[in-house]
Amino acid sequence: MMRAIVGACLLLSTACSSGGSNGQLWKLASEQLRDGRAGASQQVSKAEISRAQIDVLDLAIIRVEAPDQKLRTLALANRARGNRVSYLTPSKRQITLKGGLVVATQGFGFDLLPMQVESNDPIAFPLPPNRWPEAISRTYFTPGRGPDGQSWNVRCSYSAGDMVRITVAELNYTTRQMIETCEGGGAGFRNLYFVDERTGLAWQSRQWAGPDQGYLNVEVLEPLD
Amino acid sequence: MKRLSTTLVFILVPSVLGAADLNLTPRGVSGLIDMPDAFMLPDAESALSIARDKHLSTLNFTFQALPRLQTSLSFATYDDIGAGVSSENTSLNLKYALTDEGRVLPAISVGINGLFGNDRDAAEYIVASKTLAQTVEASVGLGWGRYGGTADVSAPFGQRPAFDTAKRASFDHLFKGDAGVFAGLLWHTPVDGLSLAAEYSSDTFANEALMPDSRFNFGARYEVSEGLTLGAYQRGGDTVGVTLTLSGNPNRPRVAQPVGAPPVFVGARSGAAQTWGSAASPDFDRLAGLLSEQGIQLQKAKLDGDVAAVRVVSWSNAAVPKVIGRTARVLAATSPQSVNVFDISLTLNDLPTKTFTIRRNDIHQLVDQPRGGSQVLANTGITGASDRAQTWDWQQQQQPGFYWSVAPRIQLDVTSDNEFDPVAVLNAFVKYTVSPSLSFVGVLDYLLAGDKNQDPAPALPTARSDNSSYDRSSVQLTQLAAVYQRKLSDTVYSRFSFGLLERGYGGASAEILWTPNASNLAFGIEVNEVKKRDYDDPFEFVDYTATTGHGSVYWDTGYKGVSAQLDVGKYLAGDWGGTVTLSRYHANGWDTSLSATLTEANKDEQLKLGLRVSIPLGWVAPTTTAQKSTLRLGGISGDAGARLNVSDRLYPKVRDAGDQRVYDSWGEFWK
Repeated sequence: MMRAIVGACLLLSTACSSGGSNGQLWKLASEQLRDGRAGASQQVSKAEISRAQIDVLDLAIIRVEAPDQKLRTLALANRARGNRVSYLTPSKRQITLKGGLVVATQGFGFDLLPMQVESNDPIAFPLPPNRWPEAISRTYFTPGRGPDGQSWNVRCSYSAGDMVRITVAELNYTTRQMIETCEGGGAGFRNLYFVDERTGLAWQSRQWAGPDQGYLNVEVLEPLD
Repeated sequence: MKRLSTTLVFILVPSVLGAADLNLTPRGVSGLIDMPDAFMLPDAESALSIARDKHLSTLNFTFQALPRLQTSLSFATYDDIGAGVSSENTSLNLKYALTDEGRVLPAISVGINGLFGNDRDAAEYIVASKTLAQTVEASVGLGWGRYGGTADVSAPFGQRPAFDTAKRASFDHLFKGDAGVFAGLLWHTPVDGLSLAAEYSSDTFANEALMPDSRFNFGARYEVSEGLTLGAYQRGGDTVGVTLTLSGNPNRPRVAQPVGAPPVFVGARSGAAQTWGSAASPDFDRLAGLLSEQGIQLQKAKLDGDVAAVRVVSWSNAAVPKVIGRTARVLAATSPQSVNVFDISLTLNDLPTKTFTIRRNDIHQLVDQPRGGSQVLANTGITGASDRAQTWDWQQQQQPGFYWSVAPRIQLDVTSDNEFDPVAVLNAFVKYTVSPSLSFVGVLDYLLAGDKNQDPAPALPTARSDNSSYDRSSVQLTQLAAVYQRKLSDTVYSRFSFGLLERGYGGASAEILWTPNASNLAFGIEVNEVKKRDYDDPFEFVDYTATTGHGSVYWDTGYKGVSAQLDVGKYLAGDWGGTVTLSRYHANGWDTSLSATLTEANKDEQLKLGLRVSIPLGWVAPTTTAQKSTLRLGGISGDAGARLNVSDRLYPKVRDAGDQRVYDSWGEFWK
């Protein structure tokens, strides 16, 4: 209902102009209203892809879900620098992974600015779980006043869970469930990783991406070679 | 029909905002029912609230100006049943948090209501509040003035002096006189959005001679939807009232931020694509195309040795650093290898503002790196951009431009006969740009709904108080003027406007603005020679001329986006005086400002208070348009301190390129 009111007010107040942006607003507002009625199921279907399609694409591909934004989408790798790989969604949102760690996002509602990680971070530099350190430090940056935005210095510790068999894009993996508990700088959160015991790659994860953006769910459908 | 001396003007968009759980008193202070509590609202929370009962009507704007400072501007209208004090009152309320709530200790706040108003609303208090069992908030406090009516404690800090109506701002009465004890409970019920409150009040409504049957008040509030709260209260056993609150917060956009094109990938310098040719034969048309894909328009470009200089403009709501950063990325990824330095000049509102000198290697080495933004900024030179003739290798062809818009504007008048007069105005705007320096502007207004009655023309025209004498029955030509603006030097801007400048006045207006390099200060001078326009004929004038002008100082304090402005000069009615404006802006474009004007003409009256809130459309809609909606309260009507409404003043056009704002929003550089 509120979304409808927002849309109606938007249409009322912006009317029309020669600039074109107002016309776009009419369209955007109507899309807002339409999306609200369509619900999440329509978006979910867009995030599905078969193994055969992945093989044909022959590209690194991940699936990202932003629950707070009711968004679930596929993203293709479009650039790499070292082990930092940036993925682009069809709607031009960007998410950057360092190893299996989400280190930056753009367009998922509230951005995560480039994160500072240590060289022993077992998610950013994948290690088999039996070699993970007891604790590491990270600095998250989110938009805020000043040249680097707002920083969140956290200390993270790990605990190993059960072995879990997961299915990602029709492939089965036997993974170790790893829980990462982070605290510091006014932030506190718990990330969850399903990690390949041999390579240390997190095939599935639930990662904090800032106080406003909340958690993102990431599945690696096809890693970058 | 008697009008409150203030008109509320707003476009409908911002009235549907996003909110925290708000409980505001009828005077716009966070609290129980009539009495305040000690809690603060979330930083920058903004709320527009209305309260109505048979004795009192209020319209309030509440703003959490700083994490520990809450402000509210309150326009109250009383039924004249009391001691004959003015039935209308404009007042400023302040509440300051002395301590935050701890595990054991309560939050403690001190507050002053009715600052710069008359004694009817004047009240001071200290209050403590504590959350119990997570859902109940308990408050107890001691009040003076209006809140000391019950006289539970006999003048602990001395007798309260009689209110001196000759004083525009009185402070010697603060916390003086008998004090009253108040207390209350607020319960956030299990029903989502519903809260119930009960309070033991110390306000006896003595000025209104109401003598409530009981000191107990009861209230309920229900958050109908995010940003919209309805409430009802029962005061003193015999008065029932209702409240409506619309609220929002710049830090909580209603929608996800717009996505737009992703930034260009920048890799190692050795891999730069040199897309737009070599140093010997640059293809700037190609560069213009690459920047266009980023929503940036290339206006001018040249290659000078190892320096690539460009002037760009963006029509989106992107922060200045984002435009600069994206331009730098494109240049780094595509420039010839011989280029080592980028000189990026930015145009805002057809005025060249600043030049950012950036080292190319910084872009290649620091892109996507943690703290890369601050490292680039540390190496970046920021100087005033010049509008003087330069030799450019490439210039965008200048074409005369035509812009128009039509939009309705909703306007609410608060009247003393307990009615709200909704007024709808259809506003048509046209602008013909001959060159970046010269444009012609026209504005037409038509009253779609509302009181179209026209008062007779006064025997002697006045500066502003004769506004109701203007014809409102037909289409009104509000503005028809030529505007010439030009940058005189790297740091000095100029403007000259001539024609029908606003509905009330026509004539000439000239302005100079100086924005020194590496400074958070700016200085302006404006001089206007105007004549009052006829009440009926849009092209005629009446016998009333005014020479008016101001010297202005603008200061971006660098503290949480707070800026200050001081205007001193001669106003339309010939009165000399000054206006102080305090503003707080957010990187997403929200801007809230409060102004106070004191001149010779109102030195024995209340200060003229005004409030202005600009809300970017991108906050409520997934759009990159720079369009904003504006809410104005007060500071408009009346002859004292009346200022000419010139639409193209310089500082608002270029302030986004001010050093402090650039620093504050530099986090956008890599976006």
